[in-house]
Parts: sequence; structure tokens; C-alpha cells
Amino acid sequence: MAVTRSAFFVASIVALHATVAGAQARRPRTPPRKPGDLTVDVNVGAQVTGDDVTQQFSVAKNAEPASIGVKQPFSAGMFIDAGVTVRARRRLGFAIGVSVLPRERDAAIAASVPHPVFFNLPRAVNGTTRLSQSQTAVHLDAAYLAPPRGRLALTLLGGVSIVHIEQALVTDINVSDPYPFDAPTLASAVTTTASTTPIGFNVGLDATWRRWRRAGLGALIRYSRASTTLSAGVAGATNVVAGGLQTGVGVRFDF
Amino acid sequence: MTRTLSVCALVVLGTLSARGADAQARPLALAVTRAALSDLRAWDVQVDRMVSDRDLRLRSSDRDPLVPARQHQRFDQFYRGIRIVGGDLTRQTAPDGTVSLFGTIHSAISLDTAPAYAIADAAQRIAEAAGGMLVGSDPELVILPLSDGYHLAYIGNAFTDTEGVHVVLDAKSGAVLQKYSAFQNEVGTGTGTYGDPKKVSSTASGGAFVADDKLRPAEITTYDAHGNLTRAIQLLAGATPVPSDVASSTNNTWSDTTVVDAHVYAGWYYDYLFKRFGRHGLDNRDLRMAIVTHSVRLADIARSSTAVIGTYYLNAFFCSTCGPNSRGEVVFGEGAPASFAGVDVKPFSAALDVVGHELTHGVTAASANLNGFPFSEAGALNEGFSDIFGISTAFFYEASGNGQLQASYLQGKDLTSPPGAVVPIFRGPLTRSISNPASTGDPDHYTLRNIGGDPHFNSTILSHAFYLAIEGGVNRTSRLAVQGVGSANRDQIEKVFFRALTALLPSNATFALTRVATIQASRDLYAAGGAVERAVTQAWDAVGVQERTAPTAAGFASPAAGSCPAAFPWTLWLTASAGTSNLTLNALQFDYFDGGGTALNSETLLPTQIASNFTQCGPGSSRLLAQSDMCARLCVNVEPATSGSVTATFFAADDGNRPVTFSTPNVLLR
Repeated sequence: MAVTRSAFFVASIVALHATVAGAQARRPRTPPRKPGDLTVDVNVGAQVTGDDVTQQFSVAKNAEPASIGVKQPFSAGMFIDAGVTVRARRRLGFAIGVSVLPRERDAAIAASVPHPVFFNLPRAVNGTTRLSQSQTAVHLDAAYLAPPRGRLALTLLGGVSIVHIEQALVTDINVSDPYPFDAPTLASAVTTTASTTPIGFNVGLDATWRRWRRAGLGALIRYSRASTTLSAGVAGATNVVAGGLQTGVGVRFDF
Repeated sequence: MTRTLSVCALVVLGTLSARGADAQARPLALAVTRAALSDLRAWDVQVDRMVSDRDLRLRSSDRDPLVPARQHQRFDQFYRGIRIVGGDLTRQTAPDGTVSLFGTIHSAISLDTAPAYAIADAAQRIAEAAGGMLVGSDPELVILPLSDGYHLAYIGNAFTDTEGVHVVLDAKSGAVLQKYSAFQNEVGTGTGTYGDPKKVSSTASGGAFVADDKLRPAEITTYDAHGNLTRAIQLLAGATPVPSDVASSTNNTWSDTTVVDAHVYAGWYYDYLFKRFGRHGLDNRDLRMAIVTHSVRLADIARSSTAVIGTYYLNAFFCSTCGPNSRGEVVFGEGAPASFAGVDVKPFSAALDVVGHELTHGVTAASANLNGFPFSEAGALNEGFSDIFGISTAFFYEASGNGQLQASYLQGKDLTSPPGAVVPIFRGPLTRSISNPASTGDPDHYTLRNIGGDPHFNSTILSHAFYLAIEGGVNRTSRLAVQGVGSANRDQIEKVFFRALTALLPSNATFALTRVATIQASRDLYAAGGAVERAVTQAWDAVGVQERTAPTAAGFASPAAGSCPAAFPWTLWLTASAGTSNLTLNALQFDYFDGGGTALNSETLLPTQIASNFTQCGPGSSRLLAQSDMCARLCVNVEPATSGSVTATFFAADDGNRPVTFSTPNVLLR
């Protein structure tokens, strides 16, 4: 279900790109396009930095609060990115990009579970569970197109990022607690998927080497950040920071 | 003229001579270990032969939970296909052979085993003798060794309006040989609990929650009779419980403190057994634990009979044959208000050590099955072990101290508020001190035993030895010092005594046999000759218990307080205990002394007078079977002195007509 929603979101953004690009194309004062006036780029890469997703909440177990901590540490993940950069005036332009970052990672659970017989005798329960997370971001940027050096063109990007986040969160744990209740273990985690679409920012640098007349190879480095709060129902709210440092390589097409 | 002795008229049971038994028949207390290897091998062969001849029949065989590869077997002795009560034996084995044998073997019995009346007749007679209705299975035809010899007898259980009664009938004459309550009681008081929060293990049922613990391997069910004594007795008598019998809460927030304490403490006790000893519940097979609360209403106490008050208000008891499927049930009394008892008496489930005490009776019933007859050393041991493991349960969970909800060596401390308070209607506390038994009027030495009296009284000889083995100290009577293992190592002594109870002791164990069994258990679990064995041995020495080879006598005096004629202000309890030989008592001489120790005079009882007075723990007789006791309650004075002392000396002969003389210590009358 989460995949379907992400796909729909991407399709909508791509359609928006097309509309924007079309509007630019119809401007009457637009001179004949030169390489770099309208560039479509497609990248694949890795997000190499980011924030952990952490939860800390309590649920009632054995007639006492059981505290549950969840930490899904950041780890590098593959992303795909597509965008359009349009020169508007001399060295300035704007760009729209879409990046999709689907991930599924182990989250560490550290819980303190009350004893079924005695008060104030919590036992530690540790384990891991697999949690999925996807970030689909639309980056609306101003662009500075630096003067080309031979075939190499650099573009500085900066603007807002609209990030749709879908994050699986833990709402409870199931504990195996055999008699005599001395060695409880994590049996499973109960999860829910929460989503929201915060607005953040991004800055980036695109390097394009125009190997061919209307096409080239490029590299992108971008840092983006958007923070929000996700609700996990009974498990409360969790702060989530999307984005991070992304590096990718891809192809460039000039129109 | 100083008149020093008056023999009060007391009930005489049975006849004055050995009945139907060969004069040479006698019980043999068996306690052989690898310390006497040749004896052990010889007895092992003898046991195997008796098993082969079906004179010994295997009752149970259990793996040792504490010592790897050890096995414990229990055998019952039969004579011509009829079980001999108290004739049983335990055998501990290891891969390299037998380690120990404990028990009582009866030899040279010659008894006509044809009863004079049939079982159906016996059932009727038992019900009549009890004044109630027969419950449980049909009466069992057994051979019952008593102090005067061997009896062919029927044993059965009946219920009256207020209690279960254990009845033993002579299968020849129809005479009642023994009749006593089947409830193993604990006296105490209390009302309400101490406001301490507890977790209650319950089960959702029909939109509510019931006190049915399915968390643990053994199901624990707490019933609420809602003050309906008739229903409580029906449950005890084995009626099938209906859902409304089980204590319940609509929202799982339990406000009935009596139910909470009973239910929770029973679970704690189960956990104590498992964590300390690796034992699975009362019978080591996760036997269901059934508890009855609210048998009566507190508001009805002033209108209740003395029997009901003594059983269902100011009492707690375990009945091993009660409840569903006759697998045992515990009842906790309701307590009493200060306006009635003179001090607030809490419900009897309010004290963890009392709950542990009653449930330990369940362990005992499923293991050593120590003689249910209260007026025996086994009966005293039964109560002593219950105190030991009741108190040990409290020490397992609670910090030590003298306040409420703190563990101490004062059994039943939390039954009253303030803890251990004197209860005016009892003219004393409801507690027993196992650290200083004299402080609660109980004996700290074997020479102070009173086998014809309350078994709880004699129990402190055992429990005080247990205390000394842990904490060390000096026994106040013998002045012997004990080097205990220290409270940090209390688990060692608990394991030793628990092993003796559950694996080594036979059903009619004596203090002497318990001494040997606990020493053997020390060797099984810890280094032979080490600190634990030394502490246990010194503790038994300090309380005056040695191996029972020669006869001994004990005396205990207390103010008569109206139970004797006014001219005789003292009650003198006497116990004579045979060693390895049968005895015929020819005379009993009393020597009286004034407070300064000056002899006043002497008086002698003849065999017929001995027989008519020694009826407190068996049939009146001048014959005393080996390993048996005979007991008397006498009224005495030391006129013209107001206080003094008395010594009783028994003149007897063994079966070889060799003279045997033994005396009590000087018994103080003051």
C-alpha cells in the first residue's frame, strides 16, 4: 500500500514537471535554446548521511508501564532522482527534482518490561525488528548556472523540499515470558505505518560533462533536510528528520 | 502432710495390654547411610528382598532436583497384603548404588488380619464416631502400630458441620482408636491487610476476572464462599465448584484484601518452591492449589459457636483430602475485630509466613506424609517443617525486621496489629518464636517436649534447631553453642531441611530420625564434615535430640488455670519415649522438691495407674512399643511449698526382662 501511494505521488510530481516545463516552452520571448537552457537529469545514488529514527514510549504491561525504546539507525540507502533545470535569465534558473528513497532496516528495541508478579521489578528485553521507511521528495530550487569550462558545467541549487515520509513505527511489543519469568525475550513487534509531508530545504551542486551534443553525464551532490512529527497512536508522537547528504550520478539531456 | 499428686480422671482409650501382637514384634527405626557402608549394603539387600516378596511396595520414584543423577524412592510396608500405617521407607540412589535408607520397618508381626466387620459397616461406624457423614473413598483396612502394640484397624474421613474428622476404628472390637481433626490448623488473628499493592494473577471470564492463576505451571484457584459456611464446607467436602464460587473482580482491580493476599501469597509460595528447591508445586507435579476465603462473615462472629470461631475465624488450615478430587484445600480464617478479640486480628491470609505454613502441609502430605496423628513426634515435625518453610518464604521475599510485612523468626507476626501482639481472648500471642521459643511459651529442647499436647507446641524443637543452624547462638536450656552458617547462607540450611522432608523422611519420622536425615542431606548437598553439616549437627545437639536408641522421658509443667482441682495448681505433662526395645513399665515414681531443692516426698504409680493415666497420645497401657511414645496429663502440687520441682522416674523391663530405668529432668513448678 505504501509503495502504491509513493508511486502515485511520484507520478503526480512528474506530471507537474511536465506542466511547468511546457509553460516555459511556450514563453514567447524565449530565444532558441542552447545546451543548458533546459536540462533533464536522471540520477541514481546513495544517501550517505541522515538521522536515526527513534521512539520512546510506554505501554501498560503486567499492570505497570513498560518503557519501550526503538532506534532505527541511519544507514546508507540507494535513491533515484529525476529533475529538470531551466535557465531563466543569464546564469539564473530554476529546477525541479524528485527523489525517491525506499528503505527497510533493522530497528533495535530496548524495553523494560514489568515483572508479572512483583511491582518495581522490570526486566530488560532487547531485540530487533524490521521497519520500512520511504522518503519521496520534491525539490523546488533556484539554480545558478556557472559559466561552462569546456564541456563541464556546474549548477548550484538551493530551495525548498517537500518530502512525503512513510515510516513504520512500533506501537507495542509481544514478549515471551516463560516461567519463572526470569528471562523474557522479544517475540515480535507490533507496528503501524505513519505518513506526513513536511517542507524543508535543500542545497546541491550538479556537475555535467557534456560528452555528446545533447546529452552528457553528470554527478549530483545534495543535502536536504525536513523535520516533522509522526503519530504512532498509542505509542505517541515521534520526531522524524528526513533527508541527508545524497550523492548520485546519472545522465543529462539537453533540450 | 504434703499431698503431692493427684491423678485426674481422663479418657482411657483401648485396653491396658498389648493386643493381638506377638510380644517380640517391634518397629525398627532405619537410618543407614554410607557412613556405615556394610550396614547399608545389608539393608539394601533386605529391602530388595522385601520388595520382591511384596512386603514393600513402591509408592513413588522421583528424580532429585538438586543433586544430579540421584533418585528417591518411597515404599510402603504391607503385612499379608494390608498396609502398615507408618511402615514406610525412603531409598536414595546414585549411579554407583544406594546412598541412604530412612524409615520404619516392622518385624515379627503376628496378627490375625480378618476384620470382625465389613467395610460398609466400618463406614457407618466412622460416620457415627465423627458425628457426621463419611467423605472420600471407602475406609481402608490397615495395621496400626500404637504404643501398646499392633491393631487391625479401619481408617476413614468424615465431615461434621464444622470440620473434617479423621477416625481410626479397631477392626476387631470396633473401638475408636484415634479421632482427630483432619484440618491442620494454624491459630492466628487479623482483619484487613496492610495496604501493600500486589499483583493478582487472574483469568478473564464472562466479562469479569476470576482469581484463577494460569500464569504459573500449577493452577491456583481462590474461592470466595461469600460468608456462606455451608457452601464452604461443601467445597471442602469435594463439591464441584461453580463459577460463582471463584473470587472475582469486575475490572481486575481487586479490592478484597483477603482474597488478594491469599491468592498472591499462594503464587509466591509456588515460586519459592521452584526457585529455591526446583520443586514443581506441592506434589512436585504441579498439583492445583485450591484456597477458600470468606467461609464466614466477620459481622457474624459474635453469634458464632466456639467451634466455628476456632475453625473459620481465628484459624487457618490445610486439609489434604478436601476439595475437588480430594487433592487438598487451604482455608484462611476471617480474623476478628478488636471489639471481639481485644486486638485487631487480621484475616489469616494477611501473613505470608502463615500462607507458607499451610501450603507446606501440602508439600508434606505429598512427600514425607508425616503422621497426621497430631499427638506424635511426626505430628510435631509436620508443624515444625511448616513453620520453617513459612518463615523461609517470608525471608525469601521480605526484608528482615520486626515490622509489618517484614520477615522474622516470629511465625504469624503479621496476624495482629501491632505485629505479634498479645490477643486477650487467647491470653497470649498467636505467634511462635523459633529463635527464642520460650518467649512464646514453646519448648527449645527435647526434654521439654509434650507429645500428648498441641503439635504446634512441640514443633519448635525442630524449628529452633533450624534457626540455630542458620543464625547460630546458644540454646537457653542446654547452654550448648552452635556455629551457624549465617543468614547470608540460609538457603543451605533451607535446602538441607527441605531435602530431609521431601526425599528422606518416612511418615512416622521422629526427631531422632530427622536429625540423621538432615545430617545426611547436608552430606548430599555440601561437603561432608563441612560448615553446613557441622551447623546442623551442633543445632541438633543443642536442642537435645540424639539418635533414639535408649528410652527417654520429658516433663513440662504449666499453671493448671482451672483445668485441675483447686488444690492442685500445676498441670504436669509427661512423655515417655521408647528406644530400640519394647518396654513393660512396672512403676513410675515422682520425687518432689521445694523451691530450695529440698526433697519433699515421693509417690509411685503402679502399672494399672500408669495405664489409666497415660492416654494422651495413645491407648492407655503399661506396655510401650519400641520407637513409640506414651503421654499423660497430671495435676500436681508441692504443698506446703508454693513452688518447687518434680522428677519422674520410670522403672521398666525390656523384652528380655532386663531392667531399664529412665527419668525426666527436674521439672520446675513455678
